[in-house]
Amino acid sequence: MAKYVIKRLLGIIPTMFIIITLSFFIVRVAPGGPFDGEKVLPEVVKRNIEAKYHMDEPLLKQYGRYILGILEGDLGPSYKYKDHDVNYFIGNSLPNSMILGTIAMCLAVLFGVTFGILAAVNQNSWVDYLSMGLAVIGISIPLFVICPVLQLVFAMKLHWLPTSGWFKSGDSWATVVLPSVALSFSYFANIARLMRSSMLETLRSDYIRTAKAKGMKRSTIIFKHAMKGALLPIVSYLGPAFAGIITGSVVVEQVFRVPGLGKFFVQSSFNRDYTLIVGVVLVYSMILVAMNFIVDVVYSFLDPRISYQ
Amino acid sequence: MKFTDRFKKQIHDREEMHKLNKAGRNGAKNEFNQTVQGNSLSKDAWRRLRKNKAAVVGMCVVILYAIISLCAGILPIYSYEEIIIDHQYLPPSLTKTAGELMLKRQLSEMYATSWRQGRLSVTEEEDAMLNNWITLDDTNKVWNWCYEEGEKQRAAGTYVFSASEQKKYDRLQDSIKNDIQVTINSVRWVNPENGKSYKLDNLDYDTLVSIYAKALGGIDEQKVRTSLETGVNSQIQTEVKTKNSESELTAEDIQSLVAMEKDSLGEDGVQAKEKSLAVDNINVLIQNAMTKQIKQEIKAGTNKEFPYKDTETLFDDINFKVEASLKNSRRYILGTDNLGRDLLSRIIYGGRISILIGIVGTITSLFIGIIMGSLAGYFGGRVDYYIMRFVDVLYGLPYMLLVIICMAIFGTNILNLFFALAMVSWLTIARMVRGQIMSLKNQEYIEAARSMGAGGWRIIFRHLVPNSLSVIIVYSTLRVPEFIMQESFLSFLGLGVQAPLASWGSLIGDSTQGMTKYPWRLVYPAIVMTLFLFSMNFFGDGLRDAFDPQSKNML
Repeated sequence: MAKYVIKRLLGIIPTMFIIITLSFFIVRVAPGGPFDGEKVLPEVVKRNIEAKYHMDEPLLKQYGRYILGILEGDLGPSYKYKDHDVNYFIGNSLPNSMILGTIAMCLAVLFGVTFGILAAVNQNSWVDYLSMGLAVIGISIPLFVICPVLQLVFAMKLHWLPTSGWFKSGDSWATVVLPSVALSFSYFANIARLMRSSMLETLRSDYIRTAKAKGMKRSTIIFKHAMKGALLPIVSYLGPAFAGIITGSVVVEQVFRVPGLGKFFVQSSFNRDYTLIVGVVLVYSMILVAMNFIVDVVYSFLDPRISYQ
Repeated sequence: MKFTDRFKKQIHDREEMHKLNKAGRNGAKNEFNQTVQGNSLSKDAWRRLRKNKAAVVGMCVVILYAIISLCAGILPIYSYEEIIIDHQYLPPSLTKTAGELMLKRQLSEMYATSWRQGRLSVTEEEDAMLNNWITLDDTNKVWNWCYEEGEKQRAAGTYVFSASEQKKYDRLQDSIKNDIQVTINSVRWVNPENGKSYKLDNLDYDTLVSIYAKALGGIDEQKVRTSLETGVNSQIQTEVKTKNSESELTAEDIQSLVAMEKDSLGEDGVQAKEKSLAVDNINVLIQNAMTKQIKQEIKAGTNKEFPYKDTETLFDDINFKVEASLKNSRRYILGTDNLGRDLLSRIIYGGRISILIGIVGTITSLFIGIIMGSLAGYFGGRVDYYIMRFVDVLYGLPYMLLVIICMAIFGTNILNLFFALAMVSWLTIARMVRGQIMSLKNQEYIEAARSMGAGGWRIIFRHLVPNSLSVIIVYSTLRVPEFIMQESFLSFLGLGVQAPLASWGSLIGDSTQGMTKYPWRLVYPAIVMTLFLFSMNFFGDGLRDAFDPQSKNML
């Protein structure tokens, strides 16, 4: 087991390395640079600025410097916002994104599992049709449609919830509701469908029949016996789901004006703020890779049938 | 039974059997010597698909969308060239024309202003209600209420327009009744000597100048030449000025820059510019003359039926087609947007692009995925190892983020969009094809093909890929909506399709500004897009169930 964990941990290093290298070179290959504004800078000024950020050095040397910086935990200065470095931006905005993502994830799992179990237990009843209908809607409606529609209906027409803002910037707690619901919707749908099918399969298996034959209570069978086995596919779905939530947060943060990492990402890509782009990609991929790792380890704990090789 | 009868019956039976054998293609028989009718996989799947109502409905909707977007060019919708800039933000209406809607908007605006000035008599409660709506940002409600109340009071005679209001009202009424939109098409010049007709662009400079001079009322050609020259000069001057708007230039600097620009264009370049200026001017002249003529005819009381189409001749030898319609008699079923563009036609043209991207993107990713997957699956060993490790690493990347970077940095055009999306979406297909091929490649018929001397590529593309096609087809139908979603996601962020082109995503993205005031701009594209994704998903699910009935209760 320990061997497996170590092997997986070592496997993370090349992946991260590839991600950093790829994004580092992609952003620099492109035409235009961070200092190409509307105004053309005098040659001397431009050269001075480039010297300050070591951009006059050969590309490989810059790359080596950047990698060394990352090893020390320094993501470099931002090229666009003169007084701050990338660490500052990420430190400020990452917690907001994390809060949003975690709430959305919890909502999705909680409701998805509940609806999935209800649908499976009452197969072919109205409960089943209702929750599966809801799930199909959730899968078909894209996130960027749900966000403005929720905003229009619940904030602007019914005035139940605030339109935009973030509770940390002084707005009310209710600002969290709409973005997290919007973000969780399609994952809720997927989890509900997954839960239903795996629950149906489990309920047909032999050990459930045995438990029934022994005269166990229905609730005990469902919650103690069937649910454990049926949850396994959900756990393995959480990895890709988290990746989707990260990408989705770009839209949600833009629509609901949440001061999170996603907003920075799009902005910095337009600004050609090289270090900020690579930094944000790095953080996102770290989260993603860590999440996949955790899911794999947890999965092998939960399912003894899986071998660790 | 007589012997002959028995014999006849026997013959008859045999003939029947023969027919049956012919019907079953290879004449397979079961243990009771009955012919077994063979059924192909696709036939079987079609039979199962037809039973699935949701899938059939989905398929019909998808086909409908496909037909509409294919026929977009010939549908009676207002194309981009016929925008009327006055028709901004008109709400959707089935019955009312653009003019009526504009009138209603103007009236509600007037009544709302007069409510603020205290000229519209309202009770205290109503006043509070209106103020409350304003604090809630429900301007539309305020306007509607004011309009109804105002109309009621005007009809009852308790409300009278002020002089300026009356003037505004009259002017709008007049423009609704009389404003016409004149479009000039296919302008051709007929050479009076030989009767041949030419496009204006294809004429030489001197002929153009003489035509232009004639159109201006027969003035001196030399004057026309100088005016064209100065026109082009000022064109270049403005260009130079906008290019160097940052640095402060003296008049002399500009002069020298203009001269430089002209030098670089050369004699021919300058003349080409003068030519196009002349053509534009002639077109404007024709348009103005036609508009004037039709307006006069209206005033004189000739009842022209609108919309009206005709071929006319002006300035002796210029032929053109003219189309005239009442500007404000248009109907916008789904409303208009901030530039007066018809939302219906934008949705249709946008859908065209979205669906196209979905299909072409899927085909591209299929192409890459099938090649990579079949290479890995068929050759195995080291090739398989490297390809699959590569796929694994790519799977670990947050690829949507890389796509966003690519789009932001390499520029947002459709080709880049295809490229970026296709690059990241072949992974799953490659894995799937590899699995299929690995399970197929040890079958006897592959062995047979190989022993007959078929090469690797032939075996892959003639035997292996066609046999895994059903899985690939099913997967790709589920892939199309995902592609559309990704494209729209990028367009929503402003990184995908750029104006004047539209896609469903960019329409929704544009609509997020001013959502409360103009909700139709969000609602209709959202409904249209969701309906399509819905049907595509149902259709894909149905196809999967039809091709692989065992998967029914799985995800």
